[in-house]
Amino acid sequence: MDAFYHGLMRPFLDLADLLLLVAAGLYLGQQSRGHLLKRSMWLFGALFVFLFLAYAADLTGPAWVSYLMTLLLGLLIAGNVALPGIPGTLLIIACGGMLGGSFETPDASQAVSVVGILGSLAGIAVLLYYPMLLAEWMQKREWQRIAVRILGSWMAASTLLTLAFIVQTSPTP
Amino acid sequence: MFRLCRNLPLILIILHFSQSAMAHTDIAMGGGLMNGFLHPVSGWDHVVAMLAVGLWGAFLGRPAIWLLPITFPLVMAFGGALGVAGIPVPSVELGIALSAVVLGLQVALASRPPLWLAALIVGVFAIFHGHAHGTELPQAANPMAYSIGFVVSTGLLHVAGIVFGLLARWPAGKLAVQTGGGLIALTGVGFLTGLV
Repeated sequence: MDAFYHGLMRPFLDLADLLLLVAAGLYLGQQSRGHLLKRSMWLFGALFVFLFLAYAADLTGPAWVSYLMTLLLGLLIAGNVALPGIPGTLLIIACGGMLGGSFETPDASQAVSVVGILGSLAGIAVLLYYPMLLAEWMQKREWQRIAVRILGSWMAASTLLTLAFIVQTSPTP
Repeated sequence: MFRLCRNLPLILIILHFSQSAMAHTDIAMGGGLMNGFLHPVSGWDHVVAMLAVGLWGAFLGRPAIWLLPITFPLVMAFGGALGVAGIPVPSVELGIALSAVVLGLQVALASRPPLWLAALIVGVFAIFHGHAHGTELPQAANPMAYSIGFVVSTGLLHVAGIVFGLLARWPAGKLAVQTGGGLIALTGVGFLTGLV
């Protein structure tokens, strides 16, 4: 149960993952219902694959990639722009891969690891689908659509500042 | 009961963060978020300018009422990035003081320029405000949490300005909003002359 709880809380505790999940959820929720379901499946599929791969090998990439993706999603939300066709699907797959790959391998037995993965998936599902369904529900009235766009601009602004800090403080070769 | 279930994930997230913040106020998350949140409201020069942006947006009506609060944080973050990177912006303090004067006067005089010009004016001043905040960002314990707190706080100041600005729908409210703009402009003059 500890492993499940640890996995469940993992996406809530990492601000970069949390923001990326919420941004992906809001972005998907802004889109039409057909796109929403299809692309959320792509995201979850990529996430699922990379989550398991991350438990076998270290797939952790540089932190700025995650922030850059959140920045892009935030800008798309603020502009109420849905990337069409293949670019839109690739962006969502990249988000899923980034989220799944960022999960570290725990020092525990294989059985405990699988329980941890299940916990992580549950946490991710809450953080992805809740904002997605909320944003989808908030497409009915104008002020609600504006509220979602303002949230997107706040996310983009926060991650832009953080990106600047990361670039500034990263060691130069 | 249905409403409670619908909002349960949100409640859990909020409870989760409040627990962290209250129990360990010195950890990066609590410190960064609260520092960032308090930073824009701790200086009157920022507060009055942010209120003025919201007031002016509400005064101009659609689409400025929502366009200005969306563009301001983004341009401000760009200015903040310049500050973090150490790229100098001339006369930042003067720009911040002028922002209160100019934006306050726009409201006081019921100015209605074209949308692009209003966005340009607000955007230019947003760079000054962002730069001032950005130079202080490296001292934050957790830059992400600091940035979130800072942007949300700034956004809420805009919302406060918008809410007050909505009074302009009524004649007496319009007078109150214009008076508020005048007071903001006067405060800006106070910053410029060093009286405030």
